[in-house]
Amino acid sequence: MPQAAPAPKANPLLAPVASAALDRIKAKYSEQVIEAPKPFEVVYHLFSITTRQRLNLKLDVGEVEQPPTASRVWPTANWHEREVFDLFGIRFHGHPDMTRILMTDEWVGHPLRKDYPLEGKPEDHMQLREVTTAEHVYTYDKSSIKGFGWKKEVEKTGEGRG
Amino acid sequence: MMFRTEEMDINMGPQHPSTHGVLRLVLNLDGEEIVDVRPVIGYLHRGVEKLSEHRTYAMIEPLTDRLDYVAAISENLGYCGAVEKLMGLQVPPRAQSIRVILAELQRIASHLLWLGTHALDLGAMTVFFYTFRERELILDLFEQFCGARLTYNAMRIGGLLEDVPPGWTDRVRHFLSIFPSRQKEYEDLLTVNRIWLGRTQGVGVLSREDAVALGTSGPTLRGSGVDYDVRKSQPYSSYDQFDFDVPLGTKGDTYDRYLVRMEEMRQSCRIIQQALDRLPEGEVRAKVPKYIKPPAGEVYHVVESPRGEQGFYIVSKGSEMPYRMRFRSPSFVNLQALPMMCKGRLIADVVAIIGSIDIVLGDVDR
Repeated sequence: MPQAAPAPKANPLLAPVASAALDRIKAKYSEQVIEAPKPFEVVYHLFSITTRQRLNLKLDVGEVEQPPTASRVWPTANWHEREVFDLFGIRFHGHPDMTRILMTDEWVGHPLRKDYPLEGKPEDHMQLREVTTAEHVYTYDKSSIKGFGWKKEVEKTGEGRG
Repeated sequence: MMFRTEEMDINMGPQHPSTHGVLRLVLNLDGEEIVDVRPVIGYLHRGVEKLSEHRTYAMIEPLTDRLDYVAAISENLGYCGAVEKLMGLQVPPRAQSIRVILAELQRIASHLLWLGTHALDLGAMTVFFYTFRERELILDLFEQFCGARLTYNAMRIGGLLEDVPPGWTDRVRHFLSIFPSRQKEYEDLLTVNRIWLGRTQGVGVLSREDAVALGTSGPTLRGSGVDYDVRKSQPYSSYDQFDFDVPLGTKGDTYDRYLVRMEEMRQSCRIIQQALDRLPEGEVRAKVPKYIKPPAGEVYHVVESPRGEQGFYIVSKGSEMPYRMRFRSPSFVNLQALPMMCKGRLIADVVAIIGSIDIVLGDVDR
C-alpha cells in the first residue's frame, strides 16, 4: 500500500485496474448476525501510472443500496461494475449500461453471492442417488459440499470379486 | 434515383474464425463504415471465481491454466506468487530463475501464436507456418519440463515441483541460438511488406489518454507510448536482476502494437540468456506445510502476462479455501477499448484490430 494518497482531484491517470465485491453474509465476524446491515464490500484497486502508486477503495454496500458509479471518472470501471452487478446484484447508480455481462440476460440470481445454490434446481438433477463400484458404494448427499455431494458410504467385503 | 441510407446492425460471431474464440460483436454499420461496436461476451464463462471458493489452494492452480490457455505459465506464476505473498513464503533463488525462464519462453510462444493468427487474419498465410514451427520447439521444451503442452500446472506454491531435467538448459540455449534468425524471417515477410503496412498503419489508433483511461495494459498500452511494465515497476520473481528494455510505440496503431510485440520477443531472449548464464544452484521449493492455510488477510498480486497486467486478488479467512478469489484478466479490460478503436473504420479493419489487442476468450470470460 502506498504511504501518500494520490491527488484528490479526478486524475485521469489514476484508473481502477480491478474491482471486486465481497459477500459477507457468511463472513466469520458476522456469524451471529446472519443479516449483516451492509452485507457487501465493493473494492476498487486503483493504480496511478505516473506515480506507480496503488490505492484500494472499499465501499460497504447494503442489500438494496445503489452506490454511485465510478465509470464517469474512470471509463474502465464500466465493465468491472457490470460484472459486479452480474455476479453480486449490486446496482450502480448512474451507470450508462447496467446490464449483465457474463451470464445471459435471462439468468435468475447472482452466482457469486454466498447464498447462491451450488447445485442448481432439484429437477435439473439426475435421478442418480447411489453408485456401486467394485469396492465401494457411493451415496449422494446434497448437503455435503466436499466431494461434490458424493459420499463413500459402505465398504464392500470383497464378495463377488472372484 | 433514391438510396436508402439507414444504419444496419449485423452480428459478427460468436462463431467466426477471426474473433479468436467465442466473441460476438454487434456491429452498427453505415454502409461499410463502423458507427458503433458492442462486444457481447460470456460464452466461455465457467465461473472459475466461484469454483475457487470451494477448492483448496493447491487445487486452484490447474484452474488458472484454463483462464489464459495460450499463456498458462504466466497465470501459474501469478497465482503462486499471490499465495506466497499471502503466506509470507520465500521462494528459493533457483526456483525464481527457472520461473523467469519459463515465463519468458511462454511469452515468446504466446506472441508467436498471436503473430501467426494475426497475419493469417490479414491474408498472410506463410507466417502462420513459420511461427508454429518455432512455437513447437518451445512446447517441446515445456513438455520435457512438466509433461504437458498446453495446460502446464508447471509451478507449485513455494517454488517448483521438480528441478529441470538433465540437458534441458542446453536445449533452451539451442533454441536461443536459432530463434533470432527465425524471427528475422517473419520480419522479412511483414515489417516492410506493402500490404501489411496498408492493413495495419493508422488502423485502430488508441491515443495515450484513452489507453490509460480505459485501463488497458501490456503491449496494447505500450503501443500507445505509455511506459508501464509490471516487470519493471513492481518486479516479482527476481525480474529486478535482469537487464532488459521495454519497447514503446508512438502512434498507438495496429502496426505499433505489432512492432512492440516483435521487440518484446527479442527482449525475452535477452532475459532467458541472462537467467541461464546466472542460474543459481540449490533447492527449487521452499518449506511448505502439507496443508496450505494462509493467514486471514487479503492480497492483490500482479504479474506481466503476454497480454498485460494479470492481477490476482485473494481474500483469505484463514481456512484451507479462499473466501473470495478474483482474477483481473488483461484481455477483459483490453477488449473494452475495442469500440473506441473501431469507430469510423471499415469492417475489414475490425479483424485487424481484434488481432492486434490479442485477446484470449478463456481469459475474458473466466
